[in-house]
Amino acid sequence: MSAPTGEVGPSDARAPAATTTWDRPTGGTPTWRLSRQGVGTVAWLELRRLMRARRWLVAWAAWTTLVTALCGLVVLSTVTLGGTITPGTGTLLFGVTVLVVLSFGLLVAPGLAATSINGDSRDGTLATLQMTLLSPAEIAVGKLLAAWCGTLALLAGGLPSLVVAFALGGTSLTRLLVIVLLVGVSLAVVTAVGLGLSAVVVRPVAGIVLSYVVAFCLAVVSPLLVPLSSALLTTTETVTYVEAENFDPETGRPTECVERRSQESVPRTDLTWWLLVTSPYVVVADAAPLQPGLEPDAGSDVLRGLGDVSREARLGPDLVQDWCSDTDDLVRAEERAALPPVWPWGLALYAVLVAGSTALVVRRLRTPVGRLPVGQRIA
Amino acid sequence: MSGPGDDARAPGGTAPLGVAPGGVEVVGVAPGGIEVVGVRRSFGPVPAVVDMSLVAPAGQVTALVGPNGSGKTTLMLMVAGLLTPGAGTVLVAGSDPATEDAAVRARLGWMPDVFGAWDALTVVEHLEVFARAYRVPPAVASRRVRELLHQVRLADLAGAPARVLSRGQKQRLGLARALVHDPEVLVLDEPASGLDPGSRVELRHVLRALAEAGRCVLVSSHVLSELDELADSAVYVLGGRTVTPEALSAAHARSAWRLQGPDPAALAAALAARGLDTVDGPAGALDVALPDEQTAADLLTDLVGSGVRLSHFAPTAGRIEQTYLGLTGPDGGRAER
Repeated sequence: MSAPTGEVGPSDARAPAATTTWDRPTGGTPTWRLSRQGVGTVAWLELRRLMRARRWLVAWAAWTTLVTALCGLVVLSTVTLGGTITPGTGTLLFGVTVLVVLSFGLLVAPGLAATSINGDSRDGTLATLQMTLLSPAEIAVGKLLAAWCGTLALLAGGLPSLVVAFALGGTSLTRLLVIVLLVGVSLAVVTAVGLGLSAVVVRPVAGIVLSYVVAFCLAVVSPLLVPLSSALLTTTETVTYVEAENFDPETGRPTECVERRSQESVPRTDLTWWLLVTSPYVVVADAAPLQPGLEPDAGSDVLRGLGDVSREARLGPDLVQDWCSDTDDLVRAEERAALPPVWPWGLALYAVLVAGSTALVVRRLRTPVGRLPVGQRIA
Repeated sequence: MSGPGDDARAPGGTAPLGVAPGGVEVVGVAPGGIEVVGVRRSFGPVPAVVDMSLVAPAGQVTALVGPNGSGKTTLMLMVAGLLTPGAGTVLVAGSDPATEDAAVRARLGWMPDVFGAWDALTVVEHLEVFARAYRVPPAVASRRVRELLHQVRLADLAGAPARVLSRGQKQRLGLARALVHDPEVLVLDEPASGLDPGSRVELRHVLRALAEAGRCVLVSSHVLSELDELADSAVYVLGGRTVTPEALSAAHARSAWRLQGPDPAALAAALAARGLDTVDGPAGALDVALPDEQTAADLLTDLVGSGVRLSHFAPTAGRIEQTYLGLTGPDGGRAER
């Protein structure tokens, strides 16, 4: 690097770059404008930053290996334990893989976006973007899409196992597609919440911690409140018991049934079931389409099992306990199956969460800034 | 907090001239410049900018000079449209940054005091992202990026990730980034910090060339000695206020000139005979306070005419530095903080 000496010559390095005119906008930038070019620019930038981070690639490779190995172990143990590979193995493998992928996604997704806004602000890169012609919504949505793509890469890492599970049978194509879609949507929600928190919380570390807390509350704490609150939330109801009086000596079947009524305090999970809806586990499991023809092997269907637990909670107390007939369980199962699906509620809640988070981010990105939170820098 | 007056938002109210809200007469500048009238801004209870007005015309480099914490950066953030002024009006290239942000941003290049770069992205990718974000047509953008890389001497490092750049190289990348959309107005906050002497000279040439090409350049710096050659005019800020013309003339009255000759005793006697107080400078030099250049020229003629031998007769510091020291005192205003 040498300092120029002497007179300023006609050095091309010093002359300003050639000007070419183009149409420049007038007026203001609509806050919520979403142009493909704008969103694409931000998403391209953020994805590139993500892909260049070596530790991210290493983590992804490790994750893919891990989940594939896990899938192999499930198949291997089925064979070793003397069983043959049946469609039930496929159903089990599918369910386990989905739960593992979802769990890992919920562990990673909040952290992926939780420093997106406040971290960039701390590094001094946010204001330079805000100063461009990008609208706040374009920056917010671009960042959200890029972070979502990052979490979808985790889902992609689980795809080999899901395909193997599908190939083993026991899973309908509809189920495969619906579940993959819903896992993807769930991860988008957690990512959006992390991004929203990164806009609200000034310190990046606080943003990460808070995102994990929120994700954990949505996925685990909220649904746990349903059984935990059942001891407190009870009402006195008339419960009808149908008991066998006489039995046929030959078949052992009851020939006479007697009804007995009693006033009992019963837990009312049907009043709190909506707390389950926040959990991606419940939404995904509940949405898993029933698979006609595979029902006898329902024991290996962990998703269906999880879905049944949540639907059981929705039904509330079983006020008719028919011990006399052997169809009581079937009646209850029919009632469960007849319940309207829970995933529309889940998706509606998710839409609200994503929209709310995005709105928070957009509000944070609006310029010029009026009131400035303590500790937040502009540039 | 009261925003800029309603008439600033009135449809069709694009004329930069006229009377600003609050009844302050707005000085007309050529379109393309920066015009700030009676701007104020506090952070909570802490006032950062109390009352600032300035005009930075197109085709000139205007220096913004003041001690740390005097409100330079806050003012630049309001000019750039990142902060809402508590009161007063700002016009950049004829548009209000608060309401016509797209118009301003498409025409304003901004370089913050701390330039953040995305560590993982290469130098050329930085410029490409900003060209796209500023909606520079792709055909123009690729040529401009190439030219700018040469202009700030980063062409060799085009493919290097930003994390390997030195502070000075990052600063140069920051300048190229600010220029990527060929702005009419440039707002540069301490652009010379972290630059080696050679790069500072280059920066000066780049900014001078931009001004000569009709751009408006507003630059803050605390390297006062270099501003004389760079800036056409200077705006001084102290304690959140731009310095008034009266205070400026008072400051000039205190500017010091340094005299030196082969016979210091004779020189001291000659100055004493003319009723001038002197302060001893280094190596037998004498410093004298003179109100303006006219008086200095008269004194020089007088001394030489009466046979006093002189080897040195010059301001103790550069024009801008001297005014600054005259305003703040020799400690550079540190005493008040």
